[in-house]
Amino acid sequence: MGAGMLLAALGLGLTWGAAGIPLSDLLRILASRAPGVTVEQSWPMHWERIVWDIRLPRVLLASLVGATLAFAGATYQGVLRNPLADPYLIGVAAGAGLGATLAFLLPVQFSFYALSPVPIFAFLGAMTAVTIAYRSAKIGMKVPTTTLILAGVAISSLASAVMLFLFMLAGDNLRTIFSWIMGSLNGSTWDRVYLLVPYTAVMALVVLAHGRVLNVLQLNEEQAQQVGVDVERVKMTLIVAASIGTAAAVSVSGLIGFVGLVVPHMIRMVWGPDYRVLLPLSMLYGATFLILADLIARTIISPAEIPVGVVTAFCGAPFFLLLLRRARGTYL
Amino acid sequence: MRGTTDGTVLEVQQLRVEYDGREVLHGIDLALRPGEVLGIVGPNGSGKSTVVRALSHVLASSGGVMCIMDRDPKALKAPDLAKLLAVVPQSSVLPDGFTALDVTLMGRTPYLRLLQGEGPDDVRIARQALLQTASLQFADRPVNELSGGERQLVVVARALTQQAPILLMDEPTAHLDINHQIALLDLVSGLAHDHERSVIAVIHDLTLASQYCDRIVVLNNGRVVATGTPHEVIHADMIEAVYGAQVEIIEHPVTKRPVVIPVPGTYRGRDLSVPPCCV
Repeated sequence: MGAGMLLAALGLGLTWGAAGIPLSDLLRILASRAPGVTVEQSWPMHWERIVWDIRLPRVLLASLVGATLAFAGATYQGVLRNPLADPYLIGVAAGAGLGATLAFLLPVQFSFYALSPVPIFAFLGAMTAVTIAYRSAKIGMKVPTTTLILAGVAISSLASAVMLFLFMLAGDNLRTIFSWIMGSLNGSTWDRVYLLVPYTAVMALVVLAHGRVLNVLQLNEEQAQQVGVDVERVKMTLIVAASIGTAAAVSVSGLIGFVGLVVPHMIRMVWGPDYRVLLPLSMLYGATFLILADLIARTIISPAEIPVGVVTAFCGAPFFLLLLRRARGTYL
Repeated sequence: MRGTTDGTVLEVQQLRVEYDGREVLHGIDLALRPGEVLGIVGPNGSGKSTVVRALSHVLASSGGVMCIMDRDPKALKAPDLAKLLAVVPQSSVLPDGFTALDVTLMGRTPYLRLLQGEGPDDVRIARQALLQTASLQFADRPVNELSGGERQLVVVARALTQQAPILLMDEPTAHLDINHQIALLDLVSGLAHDHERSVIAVIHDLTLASQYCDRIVVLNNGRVVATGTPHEVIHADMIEAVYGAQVEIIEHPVTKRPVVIPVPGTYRGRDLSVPPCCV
């Protein structure tokens, strides 16, 4: 069912937009690009450009970012055993925001493998913030989760303060910075898709391999250690993997909120707490959710766009509250 | 059962543990023989739980020598230690939504690789453990729907599923009614006397410890103050010295072991009455 919903969302994302493209033509355009298939061209030339150069990378990037954020959120919630955890909790968001702001204000322009400074600085900022939070929470050989969360909150405040100070200096750039911070998939390119794929894949492989161990970790850390989990090593591996995936997603799409917090909870309410089910389903539904949110973001006041982060929160929050009410007493 | 050359499966010499620079165990000596139930008793704060946590290596020791099945637990990786030593903790918070069988299967962790799921053998071992703890009938029920006593039995089943030769229990009967207390301790002492397991159990209730333990270690203020059979250890003088409580000791009509009976109105320790300023 999840896969069907994802396919439907992909179809909607590709056909709807400023130019409406019928599904039959969409499928034929896609098929014409498949190796060994010849389809007689019966559609306007610019449709092919729209599908291939604009909508397809955008829809794919939305699904990758949504999948990565929801998956990373589920991982953080599992490792930190905290239902409030989301991918941005321990400093990724504020670090990336500060990095991106710096890049926008940078007097020099450079590019690195077709990347502008913004995603590079956002990625570096995110990883720096998480590293500082992790290292300052470390006591001896252990990283207590409560200390890690608090250190993340402190680092986030610090980075936000610097970022707000930079806003005052930003002048005309402020609008650009703001639209990045609220998260947008506008300007998605194949380069960004290719950039994100390896990070998402590595994160998914590492974390999925630990699905059963994440279940055991839910006992609590002491009991998990006693049944044979090397708790500190597992925690570090998973936090590093989820942070790298999140940082990569944020660097190409800005700070899209709510997906990472809410999607894992929705899955948990319906399918239960087993991480071997929760993790893959979070990916599937995270992707679906963000494709649909982005579809709304770019069509509702077409031809203008609203930041997709606004849509995720605006649609996600009431839906989540509804689910919470329905599940009252049986969940959390 | 395989043991060390000197006939012990677990031995601790001069174990020291510090919390924040304050020493709470001042050199503990313990030896567990194969097929034995060794009880650890002592007043609140005497260091009983600390011994359990140091042995299962969730707490670092600051001194002393530990030897478990001829191995140094500090040098073992978490899964290897879990194959030798299974722990039933004092209070087990179990995650909502997982069934009793799920939780029991978590005991197979030391035998499973990262990507490996539980196989039919693991499920068979877990179901066998649930059967032994009389919990098989709620195997498929979520643990958050079970009573405290039923949950504790599931935790014991999880420890059995680890198939470790040594079972370390921290007040396993604390939240159980008398029927479950008997069921659990009968099971555990039966396993020990069939030489399937050797057991160390922290037990608060002196009478219960006396009935089920082959030997008892008495802790007070982080030191071992007595070791021996229940007859040697459980007597009124010891209890007065260690607990500051006056009790009568009688003989159990069936087991012939000491039974501790409190005597009301004999409390002579710190004044527990409300000071006048607070009235």
